[in-house]
Amino acid sequence: MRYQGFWSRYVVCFCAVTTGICIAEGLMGEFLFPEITLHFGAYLVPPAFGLLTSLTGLVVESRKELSVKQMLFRMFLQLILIEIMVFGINLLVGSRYTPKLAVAVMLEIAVIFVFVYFVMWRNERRIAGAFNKRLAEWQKEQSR
Amino acid sequence: MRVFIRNVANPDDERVIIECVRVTPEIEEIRAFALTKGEGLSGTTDGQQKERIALEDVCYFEAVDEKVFACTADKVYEISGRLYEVEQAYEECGFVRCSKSVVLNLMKLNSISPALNGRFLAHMKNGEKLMISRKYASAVIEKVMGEG
Repeated sequence: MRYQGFWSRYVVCFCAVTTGICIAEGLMGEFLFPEITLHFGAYLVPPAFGLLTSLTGLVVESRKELSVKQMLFRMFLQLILIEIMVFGINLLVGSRYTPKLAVAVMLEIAVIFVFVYFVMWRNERRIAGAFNKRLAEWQKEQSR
Repeated sequence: MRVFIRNVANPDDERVIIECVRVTPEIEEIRAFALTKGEGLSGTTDGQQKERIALEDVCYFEAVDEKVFACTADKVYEISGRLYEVEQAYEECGFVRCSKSVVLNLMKLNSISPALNGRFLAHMKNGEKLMISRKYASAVIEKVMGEG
């Protein structure tokens, strides 16, 4: 089993973000704007934001080995950066938010953010489980 | 105890066979020595007492301020050399780099669990916890799981 830490994390992140946006947008649209219909270009919005959001993962990259506190702080910065990016792009293309909608979008972004880290954590837990299973056998083989 | 030495042509055939009635601590010591091929690992404790360390007792090596320490379950020895030299020298004995400053003994590893953002926590058999950084996580995992 080959563990490709760096790139696989970005791929998992991209897929999880895109899925999260699709679900969140679908639910929000259905409840808040049931009268609105979208054109086919709308299909490209979740992967586009998925890609941009994955790139913000660079915020948590560091040559230094970060402590847990430093990592949590950087993750918080990443969330703020994503919020600014999403609102910034939407304002640039002319979208306007009511306060209620702005809060809903902010919460949506936060939920997707937590969801993505949960998916990545689950993936790493699976890797750790497979490793632990093999470790005992490996130790037996080595002590022979 | 009788000792026999028999010459072999192929270095791969070199081995030590211990025939004993029961495995005593002395036998374990001989075994540890043979496993490490007699590579001299000695270190000093706080009292500057130079002691011989069995490699298989070492849980991990840690570099702190240009010094390298060998940590066993109950003692910490300062040893000579650099961490990368330790890493290279004992790679075949189950030691692997898990972070910038730590080389851990996989034989003393109990399990790993995911930590934040691609890192893993190594739970050692003596209860200590070490961080496996993202940079070295793949090397640790591949050493045990293989490349396939």
